[in-house]
Amino acid sequence: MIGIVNTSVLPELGYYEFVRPLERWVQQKGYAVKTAHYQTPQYIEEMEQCNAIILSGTYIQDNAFLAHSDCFQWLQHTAIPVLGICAGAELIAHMHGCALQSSHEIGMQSVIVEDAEWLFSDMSVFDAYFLHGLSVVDAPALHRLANTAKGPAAFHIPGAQQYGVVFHPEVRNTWIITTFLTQTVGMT
Amino acid sequence: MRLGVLFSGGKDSVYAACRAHEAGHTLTCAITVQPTATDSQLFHTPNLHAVEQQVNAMEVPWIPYTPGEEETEYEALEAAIQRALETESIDGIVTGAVASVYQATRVQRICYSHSLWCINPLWQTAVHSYMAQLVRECQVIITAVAAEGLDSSWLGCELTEDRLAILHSLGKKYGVHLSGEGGEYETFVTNAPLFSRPLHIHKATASYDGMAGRYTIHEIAEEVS
Repeated sequence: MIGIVNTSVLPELGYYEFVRPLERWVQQKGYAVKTAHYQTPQYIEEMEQCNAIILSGTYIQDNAFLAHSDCFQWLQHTAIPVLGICAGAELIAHMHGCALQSSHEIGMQSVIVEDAEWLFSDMSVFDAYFLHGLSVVDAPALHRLANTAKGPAAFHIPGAQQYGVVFHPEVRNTWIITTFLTQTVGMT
Repeated sequence: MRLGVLFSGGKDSVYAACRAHEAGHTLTCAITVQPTATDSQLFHTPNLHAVEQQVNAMEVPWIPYTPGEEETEYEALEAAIQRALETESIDGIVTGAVASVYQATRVQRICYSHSLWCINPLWQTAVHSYMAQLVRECQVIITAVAAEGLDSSWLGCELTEDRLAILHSLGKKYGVHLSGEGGEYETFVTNAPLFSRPLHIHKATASYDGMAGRYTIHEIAEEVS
């Protein structure tokens, strides 16, 4: 079972735009999916039953999730593999003590892979769709996996199976979601 | 949230507006950019003059915008959104973007620079289920064709489940995109859950040159019950 957490302050519209494309891709790959919004009662208990978790992105104007860090404390101790997408990546970094700063990227950008061992096997450069208003400040808690000209594009939290991609892999780069799932959960 | 919809009158902008409305947001206006070129990359073009009737049926103010001669499409779009921001105090924009990164990026950038939310309820949608839902909930007429397999017989036709099945097979044969994402066809909506009354086309003409065709609506009005 793969858990998907809706991080949007507009749960219904955010579901259509940022969650449903992920659900569809994961289901197409043969995995069962459990989706919950982070303010749903018992969402943490539901996610704890999953083999891997994906934290969705949200609107570029939406930083409400940062005011609800109590809903994401579990990121500090979970052993379940987690992939954070955009806002989800910001959440992982934030919950591991990294700072965020205002810095926006909108549209396609080149991503240069620095460490291909996780997520990006065999890729050195690819184009990805970015839509964020905050960026992750580089910190010792993060192991950079990829960069854009402006900063980290993907990272890993050493000692945890937690990965963040600050772009949206559900747009043109669904192979990254597949790689995450096969590396952490295995083939279906 | 007070939202303005980027509104062409085609299926995607109408359906996106319906989804935003269903989610409890207030549609405060419909914004239509009337391009001067018929090969616009950003704007859907056929039958823009009939859009006013749709907007009346939705009972929201219409903000039409005609670009100046020197204005680029991007500048025109920004000016139209700016006008909606000034006149209707919107918090955000709803678009019918489905898969075009080119289109989505441009609207996102404009919205970001004006501190507006940019909401795309159909973004990366599963095309088959979207189209099936669309034809169940809306009346959609084909108003332009430009693809192999789509001839004059499609002009003015209503999209139905049967026609979706044909489009699906044309997709396999010629690569026609089921939702017309590549400009294979254009649409005009005559009824939708957001419309207070359906619209009836009283007079229209079709033209087809063997490669592409257009269905031009001359007279359209609310249906009298």
